[in-house]
Amino acid sequence: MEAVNIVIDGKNIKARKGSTILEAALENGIDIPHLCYHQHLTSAGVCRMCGVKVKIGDRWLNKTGHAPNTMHVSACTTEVGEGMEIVSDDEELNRSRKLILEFLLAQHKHDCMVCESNGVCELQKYIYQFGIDPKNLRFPGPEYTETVDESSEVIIRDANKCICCGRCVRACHEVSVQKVLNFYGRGGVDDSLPKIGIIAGFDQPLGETDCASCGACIQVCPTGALTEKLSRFQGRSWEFKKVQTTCPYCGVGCQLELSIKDGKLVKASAVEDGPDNQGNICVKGRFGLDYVHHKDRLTTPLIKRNGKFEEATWDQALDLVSSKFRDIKEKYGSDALAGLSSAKCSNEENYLFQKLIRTCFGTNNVDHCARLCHASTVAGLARAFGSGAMTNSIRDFENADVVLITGSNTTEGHPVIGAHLKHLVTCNGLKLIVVDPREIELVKYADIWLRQKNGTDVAWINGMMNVIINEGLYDKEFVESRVEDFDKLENMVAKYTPQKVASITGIPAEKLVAAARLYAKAESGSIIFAMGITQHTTGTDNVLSLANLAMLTGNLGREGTGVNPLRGQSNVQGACDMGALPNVYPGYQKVDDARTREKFQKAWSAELPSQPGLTVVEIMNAAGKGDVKGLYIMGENPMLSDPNLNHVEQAIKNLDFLVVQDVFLTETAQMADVVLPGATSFEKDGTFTNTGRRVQRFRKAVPLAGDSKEDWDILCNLSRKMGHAIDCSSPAGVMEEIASLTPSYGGVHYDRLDGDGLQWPCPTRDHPGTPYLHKDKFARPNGKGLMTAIEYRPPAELPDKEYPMVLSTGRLLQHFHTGSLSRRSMALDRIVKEGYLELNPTDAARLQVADSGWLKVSSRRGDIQVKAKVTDRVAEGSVFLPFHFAEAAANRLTNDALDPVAKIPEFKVSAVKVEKA
Amino acid sequence: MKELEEALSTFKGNPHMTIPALQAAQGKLGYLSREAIGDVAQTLGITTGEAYGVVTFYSQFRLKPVGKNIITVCRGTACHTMGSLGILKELEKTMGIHAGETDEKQEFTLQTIACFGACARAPVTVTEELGIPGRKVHGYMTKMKARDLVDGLKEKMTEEAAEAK
Ligand code: SF4
Ligand code: SF4
Ligand code: SF4
Ligand code: FES
Ligand code: FES
Repeated sequence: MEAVNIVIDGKNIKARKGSTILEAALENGIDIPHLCYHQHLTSAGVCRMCGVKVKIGDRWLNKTGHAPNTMHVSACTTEVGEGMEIVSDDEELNRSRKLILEFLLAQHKHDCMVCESNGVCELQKYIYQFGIDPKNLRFPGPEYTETVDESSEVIIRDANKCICCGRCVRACHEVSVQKVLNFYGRGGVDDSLPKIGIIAGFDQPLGETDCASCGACIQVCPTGALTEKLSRFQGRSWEFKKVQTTCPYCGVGCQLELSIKDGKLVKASAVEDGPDNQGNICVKGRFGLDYVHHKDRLTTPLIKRNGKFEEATWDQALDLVSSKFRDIKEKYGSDALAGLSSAKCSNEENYLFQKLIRTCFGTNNVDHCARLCHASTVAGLARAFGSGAMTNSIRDFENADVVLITGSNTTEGHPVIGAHLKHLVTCNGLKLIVVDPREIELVKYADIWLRQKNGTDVAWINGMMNVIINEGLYDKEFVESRVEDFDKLENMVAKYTPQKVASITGIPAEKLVAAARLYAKAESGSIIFAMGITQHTTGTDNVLSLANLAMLTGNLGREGTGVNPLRGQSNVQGACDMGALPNVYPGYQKVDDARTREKFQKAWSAELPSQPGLTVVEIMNAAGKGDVKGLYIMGENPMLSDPNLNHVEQAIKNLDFLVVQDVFLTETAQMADVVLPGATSFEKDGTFTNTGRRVQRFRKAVPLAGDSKEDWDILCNLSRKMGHAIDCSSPAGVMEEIASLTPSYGGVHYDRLDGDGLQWPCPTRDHPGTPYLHKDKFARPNGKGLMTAIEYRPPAELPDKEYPMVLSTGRLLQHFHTGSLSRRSMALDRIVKEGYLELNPTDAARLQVADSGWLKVSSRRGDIQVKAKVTDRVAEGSVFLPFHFAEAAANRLTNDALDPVAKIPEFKVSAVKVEKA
Repeated sequence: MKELEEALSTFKGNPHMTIPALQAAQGKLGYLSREAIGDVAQTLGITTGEAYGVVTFYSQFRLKPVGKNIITVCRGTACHTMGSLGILKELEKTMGIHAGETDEKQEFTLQTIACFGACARAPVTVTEELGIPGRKVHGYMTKMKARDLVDGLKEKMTEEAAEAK
């Protein structure tokens, strides 16, 4: 840190260079009063509470240069300078502060008795601190005439409590970048000079605007002007127990602060210094957690008898489960059993689950839904770089000057990363290239948008490399020193001229060239991708192609570069890391490597199978054929998440015995023979690994629901009954075992996880973790990156006469995965109640269907009914369907054709027919 | 709005031109309707809220249609001391509208200002004609002069109407 020497109130301080006086003071324990300043927002200098006197040498810093009386400098907007002497606390300054406070209070509806902000309100704090009598103000206040705006499902706005500090406006512009809140007017009283205030949208009720319901404005509001709607009257600030935890939803892994009262989760806010979310969270993290207390929670084990569930004790349930699984194993062999682990469960639980399947069941038939989202990422990146995870960190995009995003609707799938990218574009000059068939929100922020036809990704990536090589824009030094097989790639891409690519992808040649140049010329260029790239029969090819592109331009192994897959669920990275995969043990150590197997046999005192097991879709196929007879599913819902549901349904019905462990009676659990009630992440301890490879704690905050148990506890009990006891007293203990067997987690211990967590690889106790991979060499055995020449192959199913349109599936901001959690959140359900099909206006006109009109959508595999949403987000001939909704299950339609390497199904391209219902 | 398309075309996608774009729209319509503000926002690529915030901040922007003649009564300190409240009241009575309003025939708009900057001639009233550059400053106002002012403007409008025929 470069330091600047200053003096505040006689105290010598080494201030951080570039910080403001206020920041320097706060960082050194001096509390200069302030209201409009917030650590994550630009300083506006509007409240003047932070007024100080500043002297450099014998010159006073103000307009006159003389000793100030009322001309104070605002500490929040003035940068520290060498030798500054600052007075922050004297009678004169405090007299002005009192004056400001009295002005504010005169217009402020101080009903602290019922105000949700009582106890945390910053205005209240200063009114008290400066001893101001609210009954005895020098200035008469007006009547409180503003109506309270309760139109939003989650936010209450009471303009009568607003002190016009503008923090919410800045949060809405700079943090969530929705720009819904704005200043209005300017201190006047009649129409020609309207009274100052904050407006939502076009001076509308908040609920009618484009508000994303992120609550960033609530987070920063110093008063009770903006408060949570659903937790109103549920508790006062001082009654809450605060627990820091990791968000259970997406892979960003935002740090949340929970407010708990009497064992109930009342509300959540963002942890200001959460390493990857920096004070921001999305609508799901802030308002979508109430499913934990939902009345549908499973509270006791259930056993199905004669087609009906009956309540059972844990002993009855686990006895039945273990004896049934043992019977199947004895009669049909170990491989007639299989397990699906969960990207919603902890690292420790995934570790225990795969250990149980491998030791007690004696099979490698264990997988989880990462197969359905990022198996191709793991396969592709492991081949190219030797490691299958995001190369760089979540906050590292701020070091990039160009980001290329493809197949990721980031603002909905990973909202906090999406908002950060919008922020970097609007405030930091980041250049964005978006390649997506849909006109997603980020297109508005993009310098270049390429709209490719679904499933033509290899072609446009090859085309970009063609341009980059032809124009000599590639990084020759990097390619020579760090990469293999460049010549093969060079030969292959030679034929992918922009013209040829245009004919395959529909991307105009000149746009492709412009995008190629922009990315190649960047000092630091980063690539972000998600399921739009991976969920294809060419998923692995797509990922390998992106890896080629990054290697070609030397955009790896530095800050602000990399190939960055955004992982979907809170712990999908961790579930993979923990070996809930059929071919690897924890840390991607191969099951068919004899030395590795020996190591695990010794550690687990068990004989382990040497053949890799079956993947998710293969397990279902095997069940359909009767080869897999017993299935143990922990925290997954294949009856909604897997492709070609009609087929999945038959497969599951064909099983002899199905056990589902979950927190709700999901579509899959309803088909189970035994249901075991597990725990949500709010009811247990553990760790999640986010998409940025960061291992973070989540913490028990509320008691278990009814007779339910922590999933790790269930696994241990079951293993005991199965005759191969896995002992564990706590998740912390399990992590010790993980660390001892998994080199990349070798230094991960609970006592190290309380701050910012740790980013793997973290091999030893004193290793600080790794913010970006492949610094000087790649993780492949010879240290080099591998380029792969890949030809374009069309998707498995193309539109034809009978099924003329292309369907892709994806996520919405407000919901998550199969909706089993998010649709049981009151707020999220109220904001988006039902699914819909995005349909281009031209197609809508042809079908003569209006917005919200009913449609029948069919494919070769099934059909559904759903309402239309007419929008030009989708191109003519294409439709889009979110997959969260059981009543309009996208996966009745999707194709289960698989990528040959990663076995990921092609969710993003199915041929469908759309008709008026 | 069709009539704004041309006036706004040069500002397309340029959020830094918010004020000139709003001025252009107001120049065309005489005021800024909600629809016009929406058009400006869309053209510039900003949110309607952002545009509306700017509109309501600057007193040069009008949210309601104005009359052919705009009469501004100075209510600054000097003019107030010299009786500008009486002038305002007199004008309100003569024209049948309040400050900030426009009459039904859209002939007159009455508004106030806080110090016009001609205190030496207080009380001051200013008149201007919509779409015609320049304004007339009337100093040392009296109630009688105020009535004459309105009568004079009415007469002028009748003459012009006759000429037009
Ligand atoms: S909730 Fe988010 S988007 Fe909505 S007004 Fe607040 S900051 Fe803006
Ligand atoms: S609503 Fe809150 S944050 Fe926004 S300006 Fe008013 S007091 Fe400040
Ligand atoms: S869902 Fe994702 S972005 Fe939203 S709060 Fe949770 S971790 Fe953060
Ligand atoms: S905190 Fe500095 S002016 Fe408000
Ligand atoms: S007070 Fe009217 S002109 Fe100054």
